[in-house]
Amino acid sequence: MKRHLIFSALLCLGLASCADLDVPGLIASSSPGSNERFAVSKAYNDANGFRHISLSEDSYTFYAATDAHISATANGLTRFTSDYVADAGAAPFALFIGDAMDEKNNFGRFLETVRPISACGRTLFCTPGNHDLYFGQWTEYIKEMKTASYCFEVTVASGVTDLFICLDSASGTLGTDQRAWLENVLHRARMENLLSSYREKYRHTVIFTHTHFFKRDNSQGHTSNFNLEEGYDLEKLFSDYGVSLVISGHDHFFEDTYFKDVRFVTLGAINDTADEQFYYTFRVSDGSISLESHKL
Amino acid sequence: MKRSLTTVILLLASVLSFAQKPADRYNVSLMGMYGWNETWQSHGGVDVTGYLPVSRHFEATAAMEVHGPKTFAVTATARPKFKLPVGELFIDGSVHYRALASYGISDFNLAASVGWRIDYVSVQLGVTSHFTHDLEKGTGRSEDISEPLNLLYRVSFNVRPATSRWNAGGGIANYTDFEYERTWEPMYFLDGHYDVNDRFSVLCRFDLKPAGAFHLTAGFWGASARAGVRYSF
Repeated sequence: MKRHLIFSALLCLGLASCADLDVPGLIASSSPGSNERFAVSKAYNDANGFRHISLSEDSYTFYAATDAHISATANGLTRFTSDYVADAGAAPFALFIGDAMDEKNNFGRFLETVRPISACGRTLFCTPGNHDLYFGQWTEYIKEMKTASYCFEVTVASGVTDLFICLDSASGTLGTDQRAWLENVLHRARMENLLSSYREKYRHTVIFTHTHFFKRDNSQGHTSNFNLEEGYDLEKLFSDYGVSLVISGHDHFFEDTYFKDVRFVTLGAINDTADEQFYYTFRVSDGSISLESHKL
Repeated sequence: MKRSLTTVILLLASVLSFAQKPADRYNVSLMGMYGWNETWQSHGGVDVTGYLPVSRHFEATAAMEVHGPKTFAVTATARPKFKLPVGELFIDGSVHYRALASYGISDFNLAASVGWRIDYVSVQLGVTSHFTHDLEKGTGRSEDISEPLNLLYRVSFNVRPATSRWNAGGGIANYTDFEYERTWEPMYFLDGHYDVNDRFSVLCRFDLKPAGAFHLTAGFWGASARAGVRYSF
């Protein structure tokens, strides 16, 4: 009995001392819940509106990466940033799909690593991952990023627009309020398409969020998903509103799946401790969105 | 085909050969359910479970639930069991199907697990498959999703011995008779029963389902309560 107590005490002490493991978070998050976080994002959106990007061509290429898990080094993310900045033909925005850091107090380092993107007048649109909320780091995240659930629009030369929607799924659920907002955004886009007299306003709808929807491999055994019912609900919603592409991360393993005529892509990680590091480029054109992976 | 049929018959015969005498009584339970979650918000349903104690060494259960958001779930479990010097060893083989008509999606699970139970505690560990199918598959692209085996687990406790007239307990599991979740989506539960007389019992159960438990940013996702009766033949 005494031996068990000593072992349990040592185990608790060991877990509690892990800089990248928020043990109490197993039971209850130290960051606010989904609805509370969404209220903060919505307040910012209501006050500031959404970004609008205009392009001079009909097709464009955007960059995306996920799961940098910055701790001792940030080589993968540094390479992603430099490749993107050096690509003069790329769209003036890129996506980061969450888990910027692995240990607490590394958010500043993430921002420093991706600063060349904003320095050249481009934007890195981010979505929070579960690691970004460890240890109550939501406060730090939202202070820098301002909003975690938002849209932006990309209008191309012919006048049609691609709608990008960022969802905060860092807790494995959207929560009731964000779910209602999402449906409202999708519904509004569909109504605008229906009311367009000349041609549909929206060409593609792209959703990006950290938590992945399907789990077709056990490459990283510990990644959790949405509860099944919530996953099914969102898959049906995306299908009903003709979403073209859903981009997620979290699993550190690339998957490309069509379900209900929606393409679900889970990106491989760019973190330095991964056996293989990747970032991705998406080519958006009238008929399709194609994808290319770049191994570092 | 003939060989498969013979094998199945031999397997059934070997199971039924344990059927010296029923160890328990057949029973049927009927429960009403009400719940709330982040996706469906308020929802409710009715479920029926039948328990069939074939012999001292074999029992079976069948469960069916009809649920508010047009969901229908059915599970059948076969359970060989063996007395040990302490407690009982059992092997569960289950087939679970759920159709979620509102979403045009169905899921299907095959599960196998080994368990050990004594008066106050039951521990079960195994694996389950998970297949997702698009019921509305038309001309668009839609794949059947087959996931690798998930770990299946259930740990429960009771405050009194299993044969007590009333009992209460609780536990953690990633499945119920009506849903099979992935490994990292645990459900916590409390349950209890009171035998009103020799035939009728009153049952209740409370389930709590978090979201993101192993994202380490866990929070509340949903809860449900069930209450009903059991009739023993």
